[in-house]
Amino acid sequence: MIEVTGIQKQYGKESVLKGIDFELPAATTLSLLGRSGCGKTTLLKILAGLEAGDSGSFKIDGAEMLGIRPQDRGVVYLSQEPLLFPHLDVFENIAFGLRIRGLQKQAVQQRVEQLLDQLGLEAQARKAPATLSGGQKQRAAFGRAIVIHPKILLLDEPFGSLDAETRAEMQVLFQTLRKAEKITSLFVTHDLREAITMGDRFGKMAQGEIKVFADLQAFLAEPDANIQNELAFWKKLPKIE
Amino acid sequence: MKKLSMRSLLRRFNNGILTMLIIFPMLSLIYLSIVGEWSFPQLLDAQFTFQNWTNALRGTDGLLDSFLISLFIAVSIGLIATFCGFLVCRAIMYHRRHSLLLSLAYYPYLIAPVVLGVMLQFYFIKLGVMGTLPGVMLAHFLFIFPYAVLFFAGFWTHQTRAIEGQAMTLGANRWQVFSKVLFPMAKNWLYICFFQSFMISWFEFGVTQYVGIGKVSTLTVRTMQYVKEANPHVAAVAACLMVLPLAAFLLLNRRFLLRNTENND
Amino acid sequence: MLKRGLLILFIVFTVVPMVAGLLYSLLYSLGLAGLLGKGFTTQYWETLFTSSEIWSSLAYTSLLTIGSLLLMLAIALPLAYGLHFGQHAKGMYAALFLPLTVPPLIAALAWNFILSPSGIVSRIAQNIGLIQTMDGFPRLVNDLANVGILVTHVFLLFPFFTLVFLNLAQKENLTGLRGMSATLGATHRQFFRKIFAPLLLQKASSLLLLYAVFLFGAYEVPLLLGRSSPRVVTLLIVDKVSKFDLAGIPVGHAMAVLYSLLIGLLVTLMIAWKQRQSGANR
Repeated sequence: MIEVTGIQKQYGKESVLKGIDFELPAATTLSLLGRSGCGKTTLLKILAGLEAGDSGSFKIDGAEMLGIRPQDRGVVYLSQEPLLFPHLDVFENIAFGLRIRGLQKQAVQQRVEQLLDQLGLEAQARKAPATLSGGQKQRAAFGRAIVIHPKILLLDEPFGSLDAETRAEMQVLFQTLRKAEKITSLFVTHDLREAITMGDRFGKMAQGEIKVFADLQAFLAEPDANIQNELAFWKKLPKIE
Repeated sequence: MKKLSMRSLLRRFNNGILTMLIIFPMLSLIYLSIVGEWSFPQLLDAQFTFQNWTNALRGTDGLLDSFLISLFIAVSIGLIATFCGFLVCRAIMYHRRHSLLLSLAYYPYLIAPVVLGVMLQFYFIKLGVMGTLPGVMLAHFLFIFPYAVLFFAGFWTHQTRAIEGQAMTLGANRWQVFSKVLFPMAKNWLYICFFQSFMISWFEFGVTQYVGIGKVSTLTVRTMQYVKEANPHVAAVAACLMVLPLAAFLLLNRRFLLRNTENND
Repeated sequence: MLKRGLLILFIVFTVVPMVAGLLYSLLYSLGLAGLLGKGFTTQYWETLFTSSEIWSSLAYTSLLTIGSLLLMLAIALPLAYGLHFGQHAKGMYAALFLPLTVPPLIAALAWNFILSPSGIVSRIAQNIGLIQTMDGFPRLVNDLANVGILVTHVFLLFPFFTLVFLNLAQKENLTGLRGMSATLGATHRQFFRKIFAPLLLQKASSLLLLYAVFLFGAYEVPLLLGRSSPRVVTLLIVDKVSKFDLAGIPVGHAMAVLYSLLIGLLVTLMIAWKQRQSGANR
């Protein structure tokens, strides 16, 4: 269970986060619709421990996380940039989290191979990140994150730089994997379709605030220009008989 | 067709001349180092001898000592400057005022070392390091360290910082971030910076002579001494000792020479 | 905490020595420090500004710097063009790396052996009957036209810049640009003059400025191959402060201050230029 209450952040006079509150049961995904500049990256970095918030609380299963060093939180942040370690091949990138935890060689081998298989990256195991396609890089970064079973996975427009087809593939892959591995995640995107596809719960983030909806119906009924414009577009399309 | 081959012939000729221009000085040094008597206009009919070389390699004329002193200074400065530069540059680049801080490094790096030596002589005397090995090393450090700091500015980017964050969220502690991510990632950068720093120190003459007052006789200082004593043949041996090992090594590892071009993968 | 320690280390070993050195030289030049420190006086600065020595030295050093750079470019640009557009000259390419391993002092020494009246070229000339005696050979080192210094500087610089240009040509896709300009009707010569050279010069401008500063502070090469008057700034400074003539020392320090301020100004301009460039690229 994730509980976030009253997280605030100010840069100088500018208030970037004005008190963020939400809850998220284990093994579910909250889709957050948010445009760039709404404060989402700041929020995710605070949750991951890469930046300090001004106030608020972030609990996982009742334990306070803020103040704990990022390496001890078990919160992984994935952005549009895959940020693979350039000096390690795909296998070693995925194995990174396991190796620094001192796992036995054989266990590492087994776990990583299994994951490579699930990700469809067996053939790329020994390739350097620089030689991969955008989708492959993102898959490897994704594998590297879930291999350590994070308590929560934070995704910041992870498929933002991929082409439409690869993006759709990745969405399916992510859904399959997160269900299989029972991952709790927060998925931020500016794309309404993606938000609907990826989430169990839905919310929107704007001007440093979050609103979480009771269900999909409520989300779609929200009088938000972006949501309504997108829906209107789909309704307007002529029916194909 | 004929015109074209004329042109390519001309090109070859030009390239030949340029190649000679590059190689000629080294060849002439090698030539001079194995000539004994050399009265005008002797050239190929001069007396050839390996005496200068055997003297040098046996250590009877102190050239070997100079070689070792130069090597010691250059390796130490290379290691210290690279290590400090790497870490200090990180602190600078992750600072809010990083461009201001970084630009401060340009001044000591770009001012002629020998003038820096002149201006700092008083303090070197006060520290009691004029004419000593530590004094020369300190002087070298004062302009090679800022070089190393500037060198790593291209490494500590937002990208690197984000990767650091990524490693931390995956569970790596500060030590692991450095040992498993940053140092391996920067391996080529570190090698190149070491060799560049090594070479700047290895090449230095002006401030070494000035702060060392001739007592710290590195290879450059020794070479100049032979030139002044009108002993060009031993000077040529010293010059060869300075350049040949370096040239052989670096021709095999070209990547160390061009920091602007080949250092990122 | 560690970060603050590292920043302090940085300041202590870069800013502090610069400021302390400048301060001491300034005090010395004003009669407030050193052996002749008899109280505040502007006489040494007056000596400095009224003697023609410093001005001719500054002018001479500037001319040498500009001359070396121009000559170097006259070789490096066409060479980079030739090597980039498909002349297979592997030996040439490998040879370009050699001068990068030669210290300025050794380069000066070697060119002295080659160009001096008793040197190798002179002997060749004698052997093939071009000259009768050593005196018949033109002065090419310690000479009026500074042939020795210029040749040595060009030798030290042109290979490096050729390699830099080659790399830039690759990065800026000049092969593609040549095709494009050909379809627009430009000849190869026009392409070189209007696109190749200006583009590479612009991209390498801050590096060129950096090397101008280095050349301006060159010491070893003019020491071996220059004339006794005028002398480059660095030599003049060292000469003044190491002579037995005690009255020269404060003047030398004044000159060091002047030189440092000049370099400081150039460096500041260079940094501003660089920042503007990187700002424009974003």
